[in-house]
Amino acid sequence: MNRTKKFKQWESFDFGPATSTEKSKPRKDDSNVTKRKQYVKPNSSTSNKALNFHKELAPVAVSDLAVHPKKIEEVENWLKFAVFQDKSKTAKFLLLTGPTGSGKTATLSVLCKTLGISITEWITPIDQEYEYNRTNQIEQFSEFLFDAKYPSLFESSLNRLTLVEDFPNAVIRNPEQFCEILESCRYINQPIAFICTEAHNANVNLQRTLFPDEVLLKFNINHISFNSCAARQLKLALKRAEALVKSNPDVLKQPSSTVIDAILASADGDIRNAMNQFHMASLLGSGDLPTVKISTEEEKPGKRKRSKDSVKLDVMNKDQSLGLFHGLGRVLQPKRKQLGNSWRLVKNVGSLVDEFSIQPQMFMSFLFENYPKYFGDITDAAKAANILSSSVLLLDNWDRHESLEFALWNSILGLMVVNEHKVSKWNQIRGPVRIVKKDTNKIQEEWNGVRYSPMDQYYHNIIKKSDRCHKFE
Amino acid sequence: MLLADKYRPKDFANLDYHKEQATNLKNLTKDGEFPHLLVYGPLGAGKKTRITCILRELFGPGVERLKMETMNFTTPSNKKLEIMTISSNYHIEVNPSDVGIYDRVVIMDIIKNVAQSQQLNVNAAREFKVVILTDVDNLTKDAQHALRRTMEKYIANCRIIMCATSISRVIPAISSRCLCIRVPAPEESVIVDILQSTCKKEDISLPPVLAKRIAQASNRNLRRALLICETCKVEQYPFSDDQKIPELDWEVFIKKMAGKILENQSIETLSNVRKDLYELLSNDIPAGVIFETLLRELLRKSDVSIRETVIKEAAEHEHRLVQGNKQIFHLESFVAKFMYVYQTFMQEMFGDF
Repeated sequence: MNRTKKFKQWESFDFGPATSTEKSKPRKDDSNVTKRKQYVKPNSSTSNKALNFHKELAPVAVSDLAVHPKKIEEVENWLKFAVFQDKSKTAKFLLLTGPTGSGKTATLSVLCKTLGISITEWITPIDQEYEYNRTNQIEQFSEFLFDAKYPSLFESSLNRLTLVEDFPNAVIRNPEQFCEILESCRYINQPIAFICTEAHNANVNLQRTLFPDEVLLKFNINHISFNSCAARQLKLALKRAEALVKSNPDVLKQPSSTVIDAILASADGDIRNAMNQFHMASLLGSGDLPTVKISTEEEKPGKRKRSKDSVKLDVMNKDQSLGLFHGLGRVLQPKRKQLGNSWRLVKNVGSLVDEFSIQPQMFMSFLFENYPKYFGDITDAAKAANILSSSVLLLDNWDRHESLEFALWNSILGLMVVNEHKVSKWNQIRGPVRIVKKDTNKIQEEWNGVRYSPMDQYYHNIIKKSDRCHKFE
Repeated sequence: MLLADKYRPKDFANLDYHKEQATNLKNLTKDGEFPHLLVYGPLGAGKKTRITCILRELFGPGVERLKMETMNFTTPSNKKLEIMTISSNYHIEVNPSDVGIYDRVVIMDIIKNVAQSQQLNVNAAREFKVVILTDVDNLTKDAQHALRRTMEKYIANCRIIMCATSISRVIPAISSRCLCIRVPAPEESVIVDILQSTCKKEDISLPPVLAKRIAQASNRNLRRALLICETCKVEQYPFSDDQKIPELDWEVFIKKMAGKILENQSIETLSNVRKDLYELLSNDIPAGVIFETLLRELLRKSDVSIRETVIKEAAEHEHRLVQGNKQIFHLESFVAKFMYVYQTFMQEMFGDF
């Protein structure tokens, strides 16, 4: 059973392979290469110790988890119910979703440890193996889920949980097959937990492809969705890390408070990320992590507006993906910065365009549907309408990918610039109206196949004394 | 049956106007060979009548035995489509724009079906069948390109007759593969004559003054003229000279919309107008017609000094309307622009006082 991994020595925080010091060093520009060489040596001697950093920090008790207590309770209740109480012969499913580094895996493993449940996890086998076995991934996967009801020879605990976090590719490509597999293990008396990372991109969002609502309903899957770590929780976790640093002054040093602030600001609720950054910052050889002042010209997360001199880690500029509504908000409620007599847009327009260049049509329809509510003056609205109409013309007649982008640039920048009399109040975003044409087939049938122009239907109503056709009031 | 259908001419000999064109068309069908046709012209000019005449000339009276069928299609994305077709043994008529953006599938499937089944009837006058596509100017670009390919491929046993109001939205690749025939709208005097002769056949006495008024109201649309005539008869018979001619409800609707625009130029009005526009569009009133009616109404009420700007803007937006697919964008843009122009004008006026 190569593919099942025992969790006896499970590192609760799944940081991936423990980062060696060389790897984790902040990537600076090439001028720093020589400098780096100097401190490679001392670090490599202590790399053994450094390896333990995450292990030391891994949450052991429930109180260590940087997750909202309610969520922990929810998961705990499910575990208790599914493993201990429920004696029915059906499989119990749990689905955990949430952004990266929100502590899904950690919560599950810590809870299992405290409750005395052993975890069997599916690891998708690498290619070589199934060449020998002559069975495909999907067969192996369903076999694994099915076999999970038999206790392992090495494991004395009777309380077991099967975990799937690493979904086989074949399943992702073929969600129907996944459904069949679920169907087949419906009557195994074994709790199974799935963990899906939330992603903004619909293509990689496993939850949407593998667990649409009807699947959740059909198999009675318990869905618990995690939020990203709250800033307070992150701070607590970093406090613990600081304590660890204090107890190991020979290998680690205390990062400066600005760096810690920067880590908190740039982690974006991702505790794994924050820990990695902290580890990097606390290594003895490293200098202060390069930080970037979040000036008003750069992108600035709205929450951290209060502290004027807030900083962000230079290395860790994550690709933030904006949701549709967020993007609409940015375009319709643009922030401006006064510069003498002129003004500048605060937000970077290019990144907005990039964000929506995949579905420009959809974004444009949303803009069109919602823009009037944000305009206070008909002069501006006329300009905006003109801009939208010219952009949509470009969209309709696109011949290259660039023209799609031109259209988006035109509309986004245009709407952001034109609005001089902004209406700043909360507006509900409405979806685009789809023009539904009437089903003309039936009317045509009644009229023996003659099709009357919709413009003349009014007369038909009168002549036939019916109201078969639409009447404009 | 409505007058317009009852007395629709069935062959070239009975046509009332464009007689020279009729002889030409008749000569066209004499030969065994027959090109693809693209018949275009304004509404109610008699395009369809001429097409049926051509069919009759080609295939004889058998072509009048029509049957209606709903055909089912499946798009590549597994969406089921239904479309109404009218067919005889020799031809099939379909309006592919009924299925919106999936028109390409319909066109390809229908033409392929027709073209692949050979003419079975040995006694049939022609070796080919005819596919009639109506409203080709509403086809998507995609469908038009598909049509171009299929037209070439199946020319051996299938001819296509297309019907459109204007060829500006038909891609050149298609119009160059067809013989384009323009059917102009009949003149008012012709309409008056036809109204009179039709009424005579029905034993209705139509006063000449009313006939003239109806012809004017019909906007040189013969079908509409006949419909108005019949509507008038329903409302009041015997006719009187100064009888009220019922106005089209959507025209009234657009006039009301214009009234709103002129009364108050604000964002709320804009949103209101958008709702109205959606209603018009979803009831298949062509965007071009909406535009024209609206512009005429707005111009009537606006001052001479701004007319030039308004017309210029209208021309620009109508051009966009024809080029693009999202009509509502351009309509609304024009409305907003007009509001702006009108408001500025009004403010200047009041500034003078």
